[in-house]
Amino acid sequence: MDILIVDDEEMVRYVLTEKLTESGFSVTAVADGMSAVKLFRDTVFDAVLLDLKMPGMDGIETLKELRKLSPDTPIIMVTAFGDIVTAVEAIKLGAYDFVEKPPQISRIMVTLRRAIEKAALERELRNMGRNAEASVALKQAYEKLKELDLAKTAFLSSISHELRTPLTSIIGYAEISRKKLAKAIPDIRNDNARSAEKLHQVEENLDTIVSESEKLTRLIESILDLTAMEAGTAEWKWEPLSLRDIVENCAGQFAATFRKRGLDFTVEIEGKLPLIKGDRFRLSQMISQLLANAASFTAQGGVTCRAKRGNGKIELSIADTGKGICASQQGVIFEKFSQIGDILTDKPKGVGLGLSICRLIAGYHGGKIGVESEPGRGSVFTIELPFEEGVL
Amino acid sequence: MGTHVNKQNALRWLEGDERMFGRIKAIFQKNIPSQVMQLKECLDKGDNGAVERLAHTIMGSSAMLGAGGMSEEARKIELCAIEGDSATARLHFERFAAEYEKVMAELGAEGEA
Repeated sequence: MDILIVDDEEMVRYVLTEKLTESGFSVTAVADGMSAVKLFRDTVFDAVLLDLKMPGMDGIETLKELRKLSPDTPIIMVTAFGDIVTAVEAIKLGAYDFVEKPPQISRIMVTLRRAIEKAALERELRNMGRNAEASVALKQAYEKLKELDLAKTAFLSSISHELRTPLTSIIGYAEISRKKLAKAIPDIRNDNARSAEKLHQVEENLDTIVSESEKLTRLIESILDLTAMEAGTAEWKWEPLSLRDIVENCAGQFAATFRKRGLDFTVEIEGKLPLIKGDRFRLSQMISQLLANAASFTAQGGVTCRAKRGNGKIELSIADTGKGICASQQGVIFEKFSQIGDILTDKPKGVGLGLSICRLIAGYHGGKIGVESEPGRGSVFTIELPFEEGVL
Repeated sequence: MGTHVNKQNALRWLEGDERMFGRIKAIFQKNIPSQVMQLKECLDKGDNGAVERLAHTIMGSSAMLGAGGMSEEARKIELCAIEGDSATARLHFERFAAEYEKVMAELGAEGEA
C-alpha cells in the first residue's frame, strides 16, 4: 500500500517513514503541500497522512487540492495540540480522520488500515452500484425484448387468422367451382371438344389453386400452432399413451411415401415400452414431422425409426441416410424459420417451423430433441420422453 | 535523561525504539537552532504569521523529543501570535529561550556521555 506523508517536521517524516516501511507500507514523504499536490497529479496513493499546520500551503488548502485530484483517496490529518477545531473543519472538508502529535504509531497504523479498507469498500460498493445499474438496464432491455416478442407473436397469430379466413373461402369456392365444372365437363365434351379442352385447363388451374391454398393453410396452421405453444395458449390433452401405438400409426401413414421414393423403411420398437403421459395428437405431429423431413432429405438408402427404453425415459430415434446437416446448421435447425436446403434443389424447403414445433412439443412433454448428423451420410434425430415408473 | 527532556515520554510514542530516539534527537539538534533563531527574528519584526508557524513547529518537535517545558513555552508563543499579541509573545520567548538552552544542554550532555 502506498502512503504519502506531508509534514514540514523532519522528525515526523522520519519516524513515520521508518515505522510504516517496517510495517510493509510503501512510503513517500514530502515537506510541504505544494510538493504533495504536484506528486498527487502523477501518482496514485492508497492514503495520505497530512500535517495540518505547514508553511506555505497549509493542511486545509492542501486537503482541498488533493481531494479535487483524487476524492477517493483517504486523507488523515496529523494535528498538534490545540488544532482540534481545524481538524474538525478538515473532516468536514472530507478528511477521513485525524491523529494527534506526537503521532502514536499503533494508532496511526489502525487509522490508516481502516481508512484504506473503507475506501476499498466504498469503491466496491460504487462498482456494485454500477453493476446494479447495468443489471437494471439489462432487465429493462430484457423486458422490452419480451414485450416485443409477445407483440410479434400476437402479430403473427393475428395475421395468420386474417390470412386463414380468406384462404378458407378461396379453397371452398375453388372446390365448388371444380366440382361444378367436373359435372359440366362431360356434357360440354359431348357438345364441343374445344370448349371441353379449355374447361379442362380451368379445372387444372382450380386444382393448383386448391393445392397451393392448402399448402398455405398448413403454413398458417404451423404459425398458429407455434405461436399458441409459445404463448402457452395451445390446448393439450394429457393422457397415458403407448408410444408404440403412435409410432406404428405414423409409420403406417408414411410407409407408402418411402416406398414411392424407393427408400427402405424400418421400424424397431423394443418390447414392453412403458406408457408415457402425453398428448396423442402432438406426439403424432412431432413424429410425422420428423418422418416427413427424413423423406424429403433422403435420396437413397433408407429411414429407420427406433424406440427403446432408457433410464427413466423412452428414446425415439429417426435415422436417415440422407444428405446430412453440417455442424453449423445443427446448432440452429431447431430455431424458428431455420431452413435446410432441399435434397434436389438445395433451396430452402418450407419456412423452417417444423423442427421448432417438434422442440416445443418435446419440451411440453418434459423431454428434449437433438440431432447427430454427418454431411453426406445422414442424420439421427433423437427424442427423449420421460416416464415415471409405476405412475402410469 | 534529565528534567528538561523526558526520554520516557518520547519512547512511549516511539514504542520503545531507542535507535529512533537517537535519530530524532539528531534531527532536533540539527534543525532546532536555526528555527529558534528564525523565531526570534520574526518576533522582533512582529511577523505574527511566521511566529505562529515557527512556534507551532518547535512546539511539535520538542514535544516529540520529550521536551515538555520547551514545547509548552513554544505553544504560549504560538497562541500569542494567533491573537496578534506580539508583546506577550516576546515575553514568553524569554522563558522559552531559557528552556531551550537547558534542553540543548541536556541533549548535548547525553551525547557527550
